[in-house]
Amino acid sequence: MAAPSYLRQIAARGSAEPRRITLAPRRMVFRPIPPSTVLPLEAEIAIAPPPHLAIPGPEPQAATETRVPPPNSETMRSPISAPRLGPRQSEGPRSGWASIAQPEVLPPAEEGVRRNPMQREAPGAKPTPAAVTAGPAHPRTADQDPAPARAAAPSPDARAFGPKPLQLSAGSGEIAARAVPSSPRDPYPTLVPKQPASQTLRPLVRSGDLHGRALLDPEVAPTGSAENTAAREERILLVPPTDHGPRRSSSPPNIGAARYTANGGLHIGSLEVHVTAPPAVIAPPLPPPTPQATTPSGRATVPLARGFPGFGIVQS
Amino acid sequence: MSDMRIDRLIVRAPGLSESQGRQLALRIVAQLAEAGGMPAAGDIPTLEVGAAAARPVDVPDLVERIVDEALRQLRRSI
Repeated sequence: MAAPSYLRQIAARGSAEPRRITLAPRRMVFRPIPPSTVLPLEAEIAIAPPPHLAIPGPEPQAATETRVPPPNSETMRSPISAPRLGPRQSEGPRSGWASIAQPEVLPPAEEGVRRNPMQREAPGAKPTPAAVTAGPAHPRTADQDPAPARAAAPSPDARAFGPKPLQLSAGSGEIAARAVPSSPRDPYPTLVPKQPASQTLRPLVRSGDLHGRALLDPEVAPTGSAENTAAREERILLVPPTDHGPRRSSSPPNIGAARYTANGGLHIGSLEVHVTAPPAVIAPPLPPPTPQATTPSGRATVPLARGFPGFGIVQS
Repeated sequence: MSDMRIDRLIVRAPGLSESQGRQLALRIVAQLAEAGGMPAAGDIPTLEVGAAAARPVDVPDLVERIVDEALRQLRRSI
């Protein structure tokens, strides 16, 4: 029989011993966060920037409508584009303001262009109301892009001179203010969100490169920072010790020779040369000088040289 | 070409002045460098070579005898 689970043991113990304080799993209630308390992403995006931060487009182009709007385009479009319609209507068609309704009024002959969002139409392409009504004649196009067709409901003047919806740049006023068009012909600006200084990415530099530059260039050398100081010390520790060559005078010759053989070369720790003097030639002791002999004639003999008394020359 | 490294060279020659002993040491080193048959590699902590000088002292002959003795001991040690 399998042992009861931990919770069953607690429940059984609690029922058997009601006065004892036990862990009551029933009190552990899981309370999920209600969806209403969570701010949806659409709510953040739908914040409308001030009207003066709207960026005029370069030229009214039909290619702006070829793009498929995002799923939340209905909620984004109305709060942003509504306040811009009034003051900008007097600028005329050359003011650079584009309307989101323009792409819906493409002539039927340019349907192929609409299917390819990468292509651009001629700036002079003027949509006609007949093209809008001709939408159902091309059911495939109408099915693919139903939202712009509904957005074309405003008057043609509003479509021609209205501000750009800034569908993709409607994050906040700051983002819209820094939006710049990626190209003169591209009505959709490229978002350049402004980042706080604390979130600005610093260039990644490898620690080894930084230290190398610090060693080469004293101006680049970090000073005053404990982190940099520690890094420099670490580099110093990583420097390999200089090779002073094998010095193993105390080691046995065989072991030292085996190690030095691997390096190559002959090493002699100490070469001692003892030059012994030749054995000294000991001359035989000189015989004691003999008494000067006298000749019968009475003349004395004189030795020829010192040390050789025996070879004297008799002087007459 | 093999290298030979001598950390210390001691020449004990009685009857020679300091300059004569220095010249003798330099000649020994030069002769060892030019000598053939040297072991290619090895490590010898201490090598003692003894030679008897003739009378009168012939330096080239003395150097040659010292180098020969050193080579002989090197081949025997390694």
